[in-house]
Amino acid sequence: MAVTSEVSADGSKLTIAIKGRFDFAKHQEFRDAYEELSPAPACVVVDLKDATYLDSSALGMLLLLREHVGGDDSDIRVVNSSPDVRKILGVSNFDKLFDIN
Amino acid sequence: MQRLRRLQQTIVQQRDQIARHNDYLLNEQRVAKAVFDRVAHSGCLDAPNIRYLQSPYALFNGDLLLAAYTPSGDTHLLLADFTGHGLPAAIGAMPLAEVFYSMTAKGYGLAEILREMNAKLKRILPVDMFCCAALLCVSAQRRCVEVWNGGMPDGYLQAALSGERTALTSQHLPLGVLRAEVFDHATQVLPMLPGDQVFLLTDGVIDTCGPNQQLFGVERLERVLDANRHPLQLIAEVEQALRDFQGQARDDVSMVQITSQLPAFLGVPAIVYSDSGQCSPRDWSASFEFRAPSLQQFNPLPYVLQLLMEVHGLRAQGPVIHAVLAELYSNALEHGVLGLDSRLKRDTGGFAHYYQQRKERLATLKYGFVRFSLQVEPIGESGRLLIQVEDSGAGFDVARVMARPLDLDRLSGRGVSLVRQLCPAARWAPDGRSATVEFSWGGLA
Repeated sequence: MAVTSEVSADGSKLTIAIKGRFDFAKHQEFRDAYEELSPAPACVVVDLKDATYLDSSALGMLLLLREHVGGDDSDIRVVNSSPDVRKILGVSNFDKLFDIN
Repeated sequence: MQRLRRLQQTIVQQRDQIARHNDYLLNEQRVAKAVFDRVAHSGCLDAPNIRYLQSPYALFNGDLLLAAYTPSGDTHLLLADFTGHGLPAAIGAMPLAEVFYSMTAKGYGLAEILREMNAKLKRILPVDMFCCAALLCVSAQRRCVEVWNGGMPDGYLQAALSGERTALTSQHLPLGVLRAEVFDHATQVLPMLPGDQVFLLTDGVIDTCGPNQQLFGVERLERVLDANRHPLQLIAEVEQALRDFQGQARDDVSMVQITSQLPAFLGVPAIVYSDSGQCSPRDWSASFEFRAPSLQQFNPLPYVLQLLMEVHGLRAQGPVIHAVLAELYSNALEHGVLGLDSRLKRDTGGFAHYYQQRKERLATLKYGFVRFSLQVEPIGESGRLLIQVEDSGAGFDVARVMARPLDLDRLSGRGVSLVRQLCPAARWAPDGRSATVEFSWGGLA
């Protein structure tokens, strides 16, 4: 599986891990990882440890996720991004919307 | 045998159907391309000081490249890249182009244009679509460039004389992401002398993929910039480097380069009105006073100018009136009300400091005003316009400033000298707190 997800025991935290290229091909899998959860988790961690590349449609997917879990009140952490991936997030200034480390 | 024949028939049918569909699709795209190209690549892109290259990933390039003159002779340039490429990416381009052209023609500044673009895209685009954009205002007359970059790769400002290169780095989220209330339109202002160049590109350039899945990347691009000797060759050299890299584009590729160039004449046609020319106000006066809370967030120039352009006799001089009024307003605001010292702008570092101070002082401004008094009077079939611009500041030493020779090649103190060049009849009250200019028409010059 290129996109795996895991919900913490108390249901408050969802972790989504991406493997390989994070681009439009992962669109459906990525949505499936969070859309059906009820209630929506309070905190989402997107783990990019194994993500090699990220394009603008991946940025769009992150925006969709953000909207789904509360928009401005959402708590989304993007973790373990490689220097290349972080550069892409940096150019778009996505650190203004997401907690990136 | 029978089954084989049926199979053969089905295959032929399906092949023809696919071919027909493909024809339809290509035709639709060709029509869309024709419309899009007219919208997205028009304006003053053919100006002699602008060079560009757009190569499409698919049938057409969905990147948006727009250029237009402001009424006062500056150039607005936009390079934008929607999520995705080709046709889907081009959909948002139409409203964006409309905002860009109409607001530029009316004399709005980058801040207002950006706010409008962002709000419009936020309203119409789905959540996962947005638009990376770099917007410039290149002013050869004021010797500066104003930049806003949201999500585009670094652009580059190249000084002709010193050879110094400054990266124009993305400082904002792309357009169409943030709600209007939290959108940040803050721009950077940098010195840019006539002859200096700005080079912008979309990420299709640096994301071009080499034979072993390697990206072309920023370092290779900067090596091309380093090696460049003739600015006119730059785009061709980048193109050649991409070819040498055996790059395979994975996205639309766009590059644009603009040289700061003083307009040969301020001959941009004034805004065209659709009335027949019979209803021109010829005898009136008005006074506007804009106080601190307005000065903080409102640009009164487009409104005042629109009003003045209702006077038909003044339209031919629209560009000059606009340039003069814009200069007098920014002098009144920056040196008068905000008390900024233009000598700060003597060098590049001071330039940045000046605009930082401007931002800070404006944000905390409590008192102060800029007042426009307009007077239009008929004189037979001719007439004249008097504009007085006053401010609440401390004034300046008029005699000393007037004694300086016109237009030295300096970065500071451009305002007064520019106004005097454009409007020889300009005069300042001895206390330096008000300026008066006069424009006549109908043989009264």
